[in-house]
Amino acid sequence: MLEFFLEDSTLSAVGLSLQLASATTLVLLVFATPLAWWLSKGASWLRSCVSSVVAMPMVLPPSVLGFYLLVSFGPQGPIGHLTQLLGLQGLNFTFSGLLIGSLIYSLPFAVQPLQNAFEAIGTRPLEVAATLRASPLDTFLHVVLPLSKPGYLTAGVLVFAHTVGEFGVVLMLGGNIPGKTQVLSTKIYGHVEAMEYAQAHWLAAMMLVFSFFCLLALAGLRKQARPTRV
Amino acid sequence: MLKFLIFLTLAVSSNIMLAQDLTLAVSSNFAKPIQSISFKFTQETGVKVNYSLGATGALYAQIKSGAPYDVFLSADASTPRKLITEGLGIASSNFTYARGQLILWSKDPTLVDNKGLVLQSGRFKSIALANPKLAPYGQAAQETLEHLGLGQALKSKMILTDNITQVFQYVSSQNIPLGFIAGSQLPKDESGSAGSFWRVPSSLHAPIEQDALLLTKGAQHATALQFLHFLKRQDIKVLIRSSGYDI
Repeated sequence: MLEFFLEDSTLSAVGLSLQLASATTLVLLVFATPLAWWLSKGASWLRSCVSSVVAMPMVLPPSVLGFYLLVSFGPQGPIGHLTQLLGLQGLNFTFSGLLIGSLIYSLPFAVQPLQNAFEAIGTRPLEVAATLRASPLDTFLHVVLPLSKPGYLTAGVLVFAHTVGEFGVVLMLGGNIPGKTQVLSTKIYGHVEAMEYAQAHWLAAMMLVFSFFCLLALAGLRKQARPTRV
Repeated sequence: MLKFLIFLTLAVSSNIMLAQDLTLAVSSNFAKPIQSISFKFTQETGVKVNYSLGATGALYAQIKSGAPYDVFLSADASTPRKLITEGLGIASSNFTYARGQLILWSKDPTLVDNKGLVLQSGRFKSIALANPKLAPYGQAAQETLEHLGLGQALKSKMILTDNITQVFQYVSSQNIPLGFIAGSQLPKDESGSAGSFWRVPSSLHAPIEQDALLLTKGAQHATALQFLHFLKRQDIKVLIRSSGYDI
């Protein structure tokens, strides 16, 4: 069994899953922050519209979302046209394509916990900081960020786990090419299709155990990070 | 962060090194044989073979969107033909690499007889077949039932699935007593765990031709053509036959 785990294609699938999940989490936490901040500042017609759009990736079945991304990244699609104009290689079947797909797919899982965290802070700490002559950036870095740490942890866990378990989007967009775009979940699918259930079971079990310990560790961290009210 | 960037750079550069490898798009019903075939090909030529498994329709959508596949092993004959008319495949390379066998299979060792009379008897609560609109094996199953005059009678008992893998899973888990699967899926052991089955005569349905095609992307890749010739070799045909296909 050990040989199977040390096979090139198994190692590369595990590596690619981890790379994709970490990259998606990092990028998304950075980009979701201003969006969630803006959404948390009151209610307006435009804000409701944007927050609905943010939730849309949850509505579409992943393989359908993957199909439309595949078409729009393709040579005939709008984004494919754009990448061609810029002289870039196409996004389909590349790591960058997978990354963009995952960012869209997991967007709501980053924005919503952050938005909740920002809303929970309320206006008072910000006003206090302002009376102490803190600049908005100072306030954000030294008041908002520490107070919303649990929100960031939740968002990070959700996005990471969601990306590791992602299937339909990566299968469509990446093409399940070993060593290039084959991640753990699509590799399990390949084993099931080939009726190699033993391998599929081992990989799935490994994925579950790994995720369990990741989530456990983060739950512990979140407990520690619970803010003390100012 | 720096470590991560180095990791990313390495990952990207290793992709470039892979460029000389052969990349195949393979219909998932051929998952088992392609494993040994590509292994053999690599042994003989030293060329590494990567293959992507997927439903024929999904692979078609990917090829249209610029997928880096050199060769396409389809589950039907019409998708490669469509790719040729769209200028994405080389017409002269198109050939049938395998003909599928349709099997009526049950885990119950007494349910299916070797003439398929169980279908007329109706002694079962449901029967699984792949959606005829989506899967060639489903279409063949539908044609068989119609040929036997049972298309209407069994309509209410039919469970349609997206692909034959699902039929196999339903029947092998005994959620559904019997179903139409591909010869390549039939469990090989003679110990009895294979249940009972009927090899549907090919006269009852149009042949399930699975065609191979050299894609435009693979045209300048000499090993791609070499691989297609390899598929026609006698010992490879024997291997394909032993996996449950005719050729």
